[in-house]
This record gives sequence, C-alpha cells and structure tokens, in this order.
Amino acid sequence: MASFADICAVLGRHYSAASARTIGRMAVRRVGAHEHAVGQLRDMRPLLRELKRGMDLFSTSPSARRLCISQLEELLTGGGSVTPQLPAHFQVKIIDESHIVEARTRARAMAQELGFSRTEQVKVATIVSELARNIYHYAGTGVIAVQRLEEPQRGISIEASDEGPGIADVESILAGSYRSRTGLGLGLIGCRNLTDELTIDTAPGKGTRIKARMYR
Amino acid sequence: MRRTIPIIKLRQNLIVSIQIEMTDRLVGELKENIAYEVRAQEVSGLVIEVSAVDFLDSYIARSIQQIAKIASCMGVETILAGLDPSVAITLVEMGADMLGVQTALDLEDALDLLEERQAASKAEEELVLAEIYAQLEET
Repeated sequence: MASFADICAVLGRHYSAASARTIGRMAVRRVGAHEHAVGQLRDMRPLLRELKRGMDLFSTSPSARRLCISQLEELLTGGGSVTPQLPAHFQVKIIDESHIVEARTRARAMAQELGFSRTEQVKVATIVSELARNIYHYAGTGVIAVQRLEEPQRGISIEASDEGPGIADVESILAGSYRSRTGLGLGLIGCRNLTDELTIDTAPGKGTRIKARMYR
Repeated sequence: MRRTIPIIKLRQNLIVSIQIEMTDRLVGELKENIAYEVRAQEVSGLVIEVSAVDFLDSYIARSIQQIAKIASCMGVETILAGLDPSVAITLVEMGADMLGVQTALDLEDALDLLEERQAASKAEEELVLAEIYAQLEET
C-alpha cells in the first residue's frame, strides 16, 4: 500500500521537497482523504488526477513531468492490481459483419481501461460501430485502427480507412440535406455529434479516411 | 450453435427480450420472425425489452423503428422497454432518437400500458356493439 510519504518521495525526485509536500497535501485534501490513510483509498484515479493538477502549478520539464506521472501511476495502481494492460493500439480488418462487433468490443475495452465513464464507453463503441458499418456497407472492406492517446490529453483515436468509392458530397451529408436509404448520413452525423474531433478525407474514387477523437 | 432471439407470447402480447450482442444478421432475422409471429399468434401488442442491450448504433436503432412500423401495419402496438441510460444519452446526442416508437421504463410498465389500451379498446368495442343492437331493436 502506498503511503503519503511514498507519494512525496516520488514527487521529490522531480520537484523540491517543499513543492512535493504541497502537491501531495493539496491532492489528498481535494479527494477528501487523510494523509495517514492514503493507502485505504479504494479508487486511486481521482488522487492521481489531483496530483497531476497540482504538478501543473510547479514548473518542471515536460519529460520530468511525464516520468513523474508514470512513477506515481506505478506506485498507486501497480502492485496489487493484476489487470493486464491492453495494447496501446490495434487494428481490425473489416471483411465481414463479425468484424464490426470485434472492433467495437475492443474499442470499448480500451475506453474502459482509459477510465472513460460508462456513457462515454457506449459512445466510443457506437462511433466505432458506425464507422465500421459504413466500411462494410459501402466499401466492402477496410481497416479500423484504434489508438490510445496520452499527451496532451488522455483519449482515444479511431481511424477508419478504405479504398472504396469515396463520398461525393460530404458537406451536404453532414448538413443533413442528403439522406441515403441505408442511413449513411445518419451514421456520419451521429459520429460527428458524439466525437470531440472528426475529420473526413474523401473524394469519389479515392477511398475514405475518417479520423475521430474522443478525450476524457 | 446458432443464436437467435426468442419471441415469447404472454396473453395478448409478444415479448422479445434482447440479451445478446446484436449483429446485422440477427436484427434482420428478428424483423422477419416478429412479423410472422405477430400473424401466427394473433396478438395485439409487442414489447421489445432492451435492458440488457448496452449499445445501439443508428442501424440497430433504425431496425427497431422498422420493427415497430411493421407491427403497426399489422395492427399491433409496439413498446420499447428498459432502454439503458447510457444508451439513451448516446442515441439522443447523436440525433438518432427513438422517435415514433412508444417507450416504457421497464417490462412491467410496458405490459400495464398495453393492457390498459386493450381494455379501453375492448370497452369502446362493446359500446359500439351496444349502440348497433339498440338501433336494430328500434327498427
């Protein structure tokens, strides 16, 4: 079990002793815990978040900050937990329908591991499903690539690419003025409404590349 | 083993409880099976229970709307019951809400609602019949 002293020791490697104590104290107070009972916290993630916020108030180099965060993560969440970490990225080739399910299930697991809320996990699964389904219905085959994002913000990046016919008029689809019989427009509009960032790169005969990002 | 979604008859209603991961094939099958069961079982209500569904994209949402429309064409009222909060939020935010489909909080509420409707329409039917009889007696 990590103690308050352990946290200060890790912080002390990258910040002055006084700064380290201040960062530690502030974080512990903000999550409503006591310095002598840090080890009893059931969920360490809020504490970790507050520690990061505190660290931002004191200057250090970006690389030192990153190292400090990973050491704190190891201290607070390592040891006891045995959940193996999922790979930081994966690809699913969309060839038949079962791949749509596979892509969205794996993306959801990654979102869960990243600490996304339940609703955000559903959103990630939905976005992946819409994009994979568009590939399956319109291009036949393609690839869904999902990647974990750490810097500057934690999140998830979803990229759908195919060599299909491309989309002729993305603007009017996104504006809602065009509606396909099969619901392509609805899926794309839905994705745009659910993501923090969505870019579409397509032209007739040139295939389609859609990048979506969601942050925590 | 091939997985299917069971369709259960309870009194005047069909109940479909979706408990497994929805694939396009399953959705398509369900559409057809429900349409034929509605006719075969001569029911007047259909409840689609989705509390175990933890994800709905626009395609599956649209398929549920279509099932409701198909049932409605055959004189059967559909109620969607037990939509998960996270799924509901996602659907509304993406703009693919369940417009046009009646909803209820859970299966019990859905059945109560259908029973009420059925009782009301039966009462109305009796009233009309009584009127016709009264007119017949007069002449």
